[in-house]
Amino acid sequence: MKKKFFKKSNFLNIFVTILAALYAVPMYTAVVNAFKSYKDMTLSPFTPPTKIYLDNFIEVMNKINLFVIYRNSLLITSVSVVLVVILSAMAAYPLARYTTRLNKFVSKFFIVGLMIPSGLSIISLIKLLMILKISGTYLGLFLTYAGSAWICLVIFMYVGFIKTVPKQLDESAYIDGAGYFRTFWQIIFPVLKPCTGSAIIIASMGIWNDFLTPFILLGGGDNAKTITLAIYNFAGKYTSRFNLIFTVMLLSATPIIILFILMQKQFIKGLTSGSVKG
Amino acid sequence: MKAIKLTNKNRINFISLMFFGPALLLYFIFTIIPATVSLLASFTDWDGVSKNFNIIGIANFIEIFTGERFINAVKNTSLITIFSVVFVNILALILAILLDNVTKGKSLFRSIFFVPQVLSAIIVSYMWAYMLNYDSGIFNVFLNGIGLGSLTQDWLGDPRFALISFTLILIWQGVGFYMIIYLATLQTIPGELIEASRIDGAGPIRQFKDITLPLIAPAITTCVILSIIGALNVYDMVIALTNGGPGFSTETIVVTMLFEATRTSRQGVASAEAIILFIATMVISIVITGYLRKKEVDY
Repeated sequence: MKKKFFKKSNFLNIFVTILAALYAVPMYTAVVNAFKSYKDMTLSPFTPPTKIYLDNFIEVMNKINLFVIYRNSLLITSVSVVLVVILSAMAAYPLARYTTRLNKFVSKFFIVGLMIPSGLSIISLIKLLMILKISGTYLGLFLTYAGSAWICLVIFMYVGFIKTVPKQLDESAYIDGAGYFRTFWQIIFPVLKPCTGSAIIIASMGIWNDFLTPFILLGGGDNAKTITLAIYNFAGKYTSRFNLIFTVMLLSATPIIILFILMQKQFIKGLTSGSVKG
Repeated sequence: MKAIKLTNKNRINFISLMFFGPALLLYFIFTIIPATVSLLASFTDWDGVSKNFNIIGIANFIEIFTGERFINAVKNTSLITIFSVVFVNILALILAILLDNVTKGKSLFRSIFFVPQVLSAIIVSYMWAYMLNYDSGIFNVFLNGIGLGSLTQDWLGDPRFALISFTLILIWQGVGFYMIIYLATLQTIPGELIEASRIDGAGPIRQFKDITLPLIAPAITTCVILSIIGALNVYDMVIALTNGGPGFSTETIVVTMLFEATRTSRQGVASAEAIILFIATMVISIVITGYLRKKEVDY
């Protein structure tokens, strides 16, 4: 047994374990200290909590209206993601199927969106939303996300995927007399499920974690409306009370981490799709 | 096939438009129009709110390049970009190779290195703000604990260290993402290829140089470009960690731009800065892509 232990592969396994453990230190300390009192955190920041200490959670609940903020973030993320996915899937279909001059131009037009820095459009966007009388509203935020670079990214994920779907599938539907929209929604869209999964994950993660757009469009401060803004505001107020900040962080990251654990494979496939092909 | 062949060009265009029309419209209104307005605003003294503005030509651009603040932001952004791109890619590649050869717990390790991708930049920032805190931060506590108390620093509060600390955090945060891309590419290399080279007597270094590297070259191009674009546009971690300070020692281009747009209400100046960043990002991406693609062929 001893001899085996020193095999090259075991040495590598141990080395990577140590690396991973060191890498995880910031996350580990955030989690353990969320369950400690301020005094315990200062005295022994590394150790796991000795008893289940939930006062932080109660204090956080008293300080910010977490329920409302959660609901806002869920609403913003879900509506925006549904819009992005539906619009992108539809837009990608003709772009992948027919390479007419119009479609080639539109494809290039959508690529530009990926290169425009988010800061460039957002500063004029405020004025635009004011003119449309939807500034500071959720509708304004939904439409902003639905017309943002997210849509460009998701369109390209779908175009790549639709190209792998055999054309015979749509053709047989047309022959059976189905219209274009029915063919798309009833025959093609269900086949795109893996891509839709990745798209939902990527877009939800990006929008749930987004800071700049809600910060500029909804405003920060005490009426912070999304979870990311709430953490920012909270940390600004209770600067050194890291145990409370960690509690807020834990509460805010839990949904996205659960989503990640459940759909890990799709998560990684979604983020790397396209980039691996080069 | 018949049904499609029968449709003429105009019909296809019309149907295509029905499908991508809604996306195109929203994208046009909420991205293209504001971006164009910003582009035009860079030649004016518009404050972003009022109806009145004057066309002032390239005065904003002259002001930006003669002022110290923007130049300082360019310097900081360049340093952050160069160091983070080099190290994040080297470390990610090393990690990917290690993980590719690990015999146990591969998916667990992969998840650990990937988790920061799932967390918002704000969360990552406060985790590190705690780690690097002068009084109670784990890093200084650890240094004191092992008797190296003289090395403790105010890692984010001292202008000498703030930029370095920030860059290291950026590398920590990004390494998992690029590692995943490299790992996915490594896994597409057929095992027989490595096996054959080993039989031919190639050592691990030769193997890496002559087989692995040429095969993962496209992934390197992708990762380098993505990391450059990411680093050039970094802002939310700056805002949460240092807010550009101490002084202006960690202020990046986007942070300066947002400051001009929201605090001083100088939409024109902010737009000019955004445009310079946009052009710089494009030029750097095109030049580096061209260079790396040429290298890919050379292999």
